Amino acid sequence: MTAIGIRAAAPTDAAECARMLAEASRDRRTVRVVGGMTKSYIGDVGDTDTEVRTSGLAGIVDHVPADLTVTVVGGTRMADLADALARAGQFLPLDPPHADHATIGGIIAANSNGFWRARYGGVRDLLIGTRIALPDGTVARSGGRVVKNVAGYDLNKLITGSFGTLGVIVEATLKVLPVPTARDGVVATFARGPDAFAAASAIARAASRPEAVAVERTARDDWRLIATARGAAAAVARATADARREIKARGGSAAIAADELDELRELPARATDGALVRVAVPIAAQSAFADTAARLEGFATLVADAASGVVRVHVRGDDDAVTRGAEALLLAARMVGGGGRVERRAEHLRARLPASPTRTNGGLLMRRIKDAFDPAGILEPGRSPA
Amino acid sequence: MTATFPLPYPNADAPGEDLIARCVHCGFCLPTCPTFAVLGVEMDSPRGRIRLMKTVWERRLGADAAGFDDHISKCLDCRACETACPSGVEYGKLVEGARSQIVAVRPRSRIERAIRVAAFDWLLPHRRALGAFASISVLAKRLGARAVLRATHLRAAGRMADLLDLVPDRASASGPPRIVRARGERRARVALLRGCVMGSVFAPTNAATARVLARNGIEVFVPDDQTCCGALHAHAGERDRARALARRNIAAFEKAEGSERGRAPFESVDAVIVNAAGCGAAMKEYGWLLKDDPEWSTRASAFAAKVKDATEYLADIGVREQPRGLGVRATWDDPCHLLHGQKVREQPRALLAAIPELELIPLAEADWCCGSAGTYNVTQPDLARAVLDRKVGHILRSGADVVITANPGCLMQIQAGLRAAGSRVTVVHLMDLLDQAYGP
Amino acid sequence: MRGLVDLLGPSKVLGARADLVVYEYDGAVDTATPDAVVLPESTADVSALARFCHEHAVPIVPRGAGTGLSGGAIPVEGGVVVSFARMARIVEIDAANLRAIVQPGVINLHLSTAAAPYGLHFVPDPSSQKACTLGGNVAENSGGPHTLAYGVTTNHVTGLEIVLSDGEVVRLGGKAIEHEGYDLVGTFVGSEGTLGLVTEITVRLVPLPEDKRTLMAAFETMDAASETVSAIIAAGIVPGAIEMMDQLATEAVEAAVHAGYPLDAGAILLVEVDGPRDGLDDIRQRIETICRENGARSIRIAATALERERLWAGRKGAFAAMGRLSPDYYVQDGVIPRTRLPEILRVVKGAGERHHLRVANVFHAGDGNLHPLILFDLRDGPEELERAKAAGLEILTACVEAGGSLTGEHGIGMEKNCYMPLQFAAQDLAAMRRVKEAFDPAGLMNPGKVFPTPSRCREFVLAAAR
Ligand SMILES: Cc1cc2nc3c(=O)[nH]c(=O)nc-3n(C[C@H](O)[C@H](O)[C@H](O)COP(=O)(O)OP(=O)(O)OC[C@H]3O[C@@H](n4cnc5c(N)ncnc54)[C@H](O)[C@@H]3O)c2cc1C
Ligand code: SF4
Ligand code: SF4
Repeated sequence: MTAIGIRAAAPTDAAECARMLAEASRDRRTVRVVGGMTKSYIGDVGDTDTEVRTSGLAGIVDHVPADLTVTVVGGTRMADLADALARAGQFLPLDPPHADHATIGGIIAANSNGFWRARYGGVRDLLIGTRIALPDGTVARSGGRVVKNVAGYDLNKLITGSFGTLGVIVEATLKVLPVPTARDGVVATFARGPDAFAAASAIARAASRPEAVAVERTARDDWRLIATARGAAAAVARATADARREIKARGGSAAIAADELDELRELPARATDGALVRVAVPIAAQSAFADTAARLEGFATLVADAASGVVRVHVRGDDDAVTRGAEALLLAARMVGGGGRVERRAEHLRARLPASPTRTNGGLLMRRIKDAFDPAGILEPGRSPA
Repeated sequence: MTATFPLPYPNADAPGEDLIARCVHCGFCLPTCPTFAVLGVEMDSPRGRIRLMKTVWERRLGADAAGFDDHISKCLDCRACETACPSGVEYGKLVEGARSQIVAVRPRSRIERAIRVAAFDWLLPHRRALGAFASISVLAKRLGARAVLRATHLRAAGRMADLLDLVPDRASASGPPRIVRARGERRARVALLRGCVMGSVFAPTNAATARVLARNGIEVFVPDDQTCCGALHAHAGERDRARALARRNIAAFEKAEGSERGRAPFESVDAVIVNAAGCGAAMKEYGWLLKDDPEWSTRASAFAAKVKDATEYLADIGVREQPRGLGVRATWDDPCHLLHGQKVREQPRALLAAIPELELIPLAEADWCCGSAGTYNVTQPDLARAVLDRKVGHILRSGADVVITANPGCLMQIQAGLRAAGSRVTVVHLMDLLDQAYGP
Repeated sequence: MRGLVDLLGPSKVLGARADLVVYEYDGAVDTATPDAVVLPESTADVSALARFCHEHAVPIVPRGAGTGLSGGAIPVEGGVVVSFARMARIVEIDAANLRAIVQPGVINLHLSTAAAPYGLHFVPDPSSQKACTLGGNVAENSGGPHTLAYGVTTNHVTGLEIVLSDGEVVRLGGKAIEHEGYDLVGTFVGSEGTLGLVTEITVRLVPLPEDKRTLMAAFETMDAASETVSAIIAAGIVPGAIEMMDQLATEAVEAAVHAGYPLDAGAILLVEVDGPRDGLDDIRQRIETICRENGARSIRIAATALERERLWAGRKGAFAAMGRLSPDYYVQDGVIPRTRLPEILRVVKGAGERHHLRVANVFHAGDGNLHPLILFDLRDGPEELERAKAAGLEILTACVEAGGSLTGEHGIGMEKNCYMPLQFAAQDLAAMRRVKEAFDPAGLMNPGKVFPTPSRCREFVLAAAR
C-alpha cells in the first residue's frame, strides 16, 4: 500500500516515535500514522512524505486481573490482546470492525466501536489512560491506571477519534471485564422498518440489558433485527425472553441468532465500491433516517447499532447516484440533530465526494487545538477535522 | 476589605460561635430554603446567613450593618434548613440570636419602636386586647376597610390591608372551660396552653382540642394567668420580652398544676399541650431561652420537657375512640414549627390515617413554609407573597378540597392565599377536623 | 462593577460587603473574596458578562451550588464570580431519545426526580446530589456510589453549550452519541471551569434498574473489608456500588441519620447490586458468601425500599455529618488500584497518627477512590489546617506512588494544583496547557486552578526540593 518514495519508519519505543515526529515537524514533512492498516480508507488521506508505523510498538505492559485494567503498547493488535486476556478469563468489551488486524492505537484513534457499546460503553468510556507521542518531541501522559481519575484535563477523550492528527498513541490503559458465563441471541425479521426499530428500541431499554441490538436491511431482504445478551445464565435467559416478547409484539418473527453480528460488523470491510456513509443520530430518529436511506437510488445495505444510533449505509451504482445518495444521507442526519461522514468510498470517487462534508460545531476550537498540538501541520493532513 | 469593627456582638444572646462551628458549609440546606428558592443568592440561604453571623464574629462586618439586618430579616425562621442539615446545625437558635443582636444595636425609628411596643407589649400578651383587635379587624373587613386601605395607594396601608386578609371572618372567644373531664377511664391529665392568637381568634379550636383529648381519656385543664408564649417576640429578636413572658407562663402553669397537692412541680401533669405549632416549638425551647438565668433555668427545662404538640401527644398515647368517617378529599400541610421546629412528622399523619373515609392526597412540598412567619407578611411582603403563591399552587394542583394543618399562622396565611386565588378550598386545624369527626 | 450593573442591571450584580463574603467559600477549606458576583439569567447574559470581563481583563470564576471540595469556585485571584443559581431550568426531558437538556444550575437530584415518571434517571449520584448542580458535575466530572458500574459524569454527557472567555457561544455535540471531529465535550468535562462557562447541558438518561439488593456487612477490621472488596471484584461481580466506612465515620453518621449501622464494627461495607430481577438473588447470595468467607461478623439485607434508603442516607450524609465530630474537616480524594487498598489504608492511619489528627474514612471502595476525612479545628489556630494538609499530602503521595491519582472526583482546584507535579511530568502539563490556550487564550477562566501557579506553589516546590 505504501506509495513509492514515501519513507516509512517503525519506531520501537515511545521516545523514538516522538523524536521522529519532532524531526518531521522541523523539516515540515507530512506524516501518516499506520497501525494495522485496516482503516486506511478513512478520511481524505493523500500521500504523505513519511509513514510512522506502530508495528514495532507492541506488547502488554501490565495486566492486573483483580484491578480489571490492562495497559498495552499502542501498536498491540487487538487479537493478541484478546488472547492474553482470555488466558486470565477476561476480555476487552469492545467489538470494533477489523478486529483481527486492527491495533489498539488505531482503534482508539479512529474511535472504532462495535455493537457492544450499548452495554459496556465505547472506546471513550473504556479508555482510562494514554501516553501520546507529540510533534514537539515529547511524550505526554493523560489519565492513568485507575478507573476513576479527574486529575488534569482528560486528553484521553481528545485523542479518541482524533485519527492521528494530534499525536501518536504509544500506550493505552483500558478497563477489562471477566468473561461472562452465558450468551445467547435472537434474530428476527420485520416487513416494516419502523416496527424493527420500535422493537429494537424497546429491547435496548429493557431492564434485562442486552449486549447488542442491531438492525439490518439490504436491498433484497426484509428488515432484520439481532439482539444478543451476555452475563449470568438467568439474566441471559430473561434478556432473550424479553427480546422475543418485544419482537412478537411488533409482528416480527424470531429465531435463534448465530454469528450474524460478525457479518454486520464487517460491513466497512466489504463496502469497497460506491460509498459507505456512517452517521450518528439521536436514537429515536433512526427509524425515519433508515426509511429515507432504504428508498435511495443505489441503496445496498443499512446496518444500525440501534441502541446507540450509529447507522452505516452502503450505496452503490453509478457515480452520480452514489454521490447524490451520500450527500442526501449526510443532510438527513444533520436535519435530525446528528452528523456523519463518508467513511469509505471507491478510489475514483475521492475527488468528487469529500470524506467530511459537514461543518461541525466547535470547528474554531478544533482548529485552535490542532494548531496548538501540531503547529507545523504535519500529522495526517487529510484527516484533520479542523 | 477587611476593616474591623470594635465589637462583634453586643450581648450574650449572640449566635454562639460553637453553634456556628457546626456548619461545614456543605450546602445541603440550600435547596430546602424558601428564600433561596425565590432570590437565588447565597446571602439569603441558611449557609450564607450562618456565614454572615460568623463574619460578624470575625469583625469583618458590623452587627449593625444594613446587609446583615436585611438578610437575617428575610429569613422566615421556618427551620427547614435544620431538618436538611446532616451536621445538626441548630439554625433556629442561631437566627433568633442574630435577630436579638440586631434589635440591640440598630437604632429604630420612633414609629417602628411604637409599633413594636404596641404589638409585643400590649397586643400579644393580652388576650382580651388581641380579641378586641381581632373583632375590630373583622368589623373593618366587613366594612370594606381593605378596599379603602388599598385605595390609598400607600405601601404601608396596602400591607395593613394584607394583614386584614389574614384575619378570619369570625372572631370568637368561646374557648374551653377550665377543666374538661376525661370520658371513660382517665389515662392522663394535661394542661392546655390557650395561646394569644388561638385564645382570641381560634378559641373554638382550643375547645375542640380539649374535647378530642377528653374523648380519648385525657383530662384537660386550662391554667389561669397564662399568657402569650413569646414565640413571636423571640423570632423578632425581642428576647427580653420573650423571657418575661416565659417566666410568667412557667409560674402560671406551676401554680395551676399545684392543684394536686403535695407533689413536686410538674409531677402530676402528664403534659403541657399546645395546639399551635409555633408556640409549641418556642415553649420546648424555654430551657434554652432562660439558660443564663440561674433562678429559672432548671424550672424552664422541667417545663419545656413537658411540652407536647396536641397531635404529637394524642398519636403517641394512642387514639382510644375511633372517629367516625369523614368523606373529604384532604391534604396535609406540615407547619414548619411542627415538622422542622419540633421534628414531629409521623404523628399528625397517623391521626389522619385514623379517620375513616378520609382521602388523603399527598401535597408536593408539604414540608415547605407557607410564608406565614409572624410579622413576615408585613416586613417582607413581596417575599411572603412569592412563598405563599408557591404553596397555593401546589394545593390547587393537588385537587384536595380541604387543607389540614396545625398552626394558626399557617391557617390564616393559607386561607388568605387561597381566597386571593379565587379558590374555595378551606383550611382546617387537625384538632377541629378530629372534633368534627367525633361528632357531638 | 458599575460597568457590570450598566450592562446587566442591578438585580443581577452583587457588590456589597455582606454579599461578597458569602461567596468566599465552597464545601472545602479554602476561601477568597470576589470583587463582584454576577447572577446571569440567560446565555446572552453570560456572553455579555464574559465579553465585559475580557475587555477589562478580569478573571471569571463560575459557581454552581458551591459544594465543591477542591476550592474550584473560589476566586483565588479575585475577579467576578458567576453564580448559576438562576439558570436552573430543565429545558427538556426527551424520553424517546434518552436525553435531557438542562441549564447548568439544575440540581442533580431534581433531574432524576423529573425523569423518574419516564422510568429514567441520571446516573451520576454524588453524595451531594441533593444540593450540587449539573454545571458543577460537568466541571468536576463528578462521580458517586453508583458510578462504579454505570460510569461517571463524562460517560453521561453528549452535548454542551459553552461560553468562552471572550463571550463567544459555542455548541458542542448534541443528542447523538458522538459527533464529527474532536471530542470536545469529553475534553471539556472535568475541566473545572478553566476552559469556559457551561450554559446548557445535554445528558443521557438511563432506564431505572428493575430491582436492587442492598446489603450491609460489618467487619472487625478495615483490612478484612478491603479484602472482601477485592474478592468480590475478582469473582467477576461488578456491583452497582461498593462503599466502605470506618468506625469513626459510622459514629458521626449514626448521630446524624440513625441509619442503623453497627457502632462497634471496625469497618462496614455497603454493597448494592441492581439490574434485571432474574439472577439478582444469586448474585447477592454470592456476595454474602464472599463477605462471610472474609470474616464479616454480621450482614444485614435491606428488606424494603425504605430500609435501603436509610442505609444510603447514612452514606450520603456522611461528609456533612462530620460537623458532629469536628468543626472542620479536610477531605482527600486520592485513587489507587483497588488491589492496593489495605496497604494505603495503613498509610492513611499512620498519617493521622503522625500528625495527631483524627481521620475518618468513608469511600467508594469499589473503584479504589479513598475519602479520608482529616478532622481539625480552625479555632485552635491556622496551623491546624497546615497540619491537616500535611497529613493529606502524605496520603496523596502514597496514592500516586501506588500508581493512582490525586483525585477521583473532587477535582484539583486550588487545593491540589501545587501537587500536580507529583502525578504529571512537565510535558504532560504542557500538553494540557495547549488545550487551555486553545479554549481560553486570554487566561481569564478560573485562574489559579488545576495548573500549578508559580506564586502560590513556590513554597511547595521548595519544600519538595528539600
Ligand atoms: C458533603 C459532600 C459530599 C460530596 N460527595 C461527592 C461525591 O460523592 N462525588 C463527587 O464527585 N463529588 C462530591 N462532592 C463534591 C461536589 O459536590 C461536586 O464536585 C459537585 O459536582 C460540585 O457541584 P457544585 O454545583 O456545588 O459546583 P461548585 O462547587 O459551585 O463548583 C465546582 C466547580 O465547577 C465549576 N463550575 C460550576 N458551574 C459551572 C458552569 N456552569 N460552567 C463552568 N464551570 C462551572 C466551578 O468553577 C468550580 O470549579 C461532595 C461535596 C460535599 C460537600
Ligand atoms: S446543611 Fe448544615 S452544615 Fe451544611 S451548609 Fe447547611 S447548615 Fe451548614
Ligand atoms: S429558617 Fe427557613 S428561610 Fe431561614 S434560612 Fe432556614 S430554610 Fe431559609
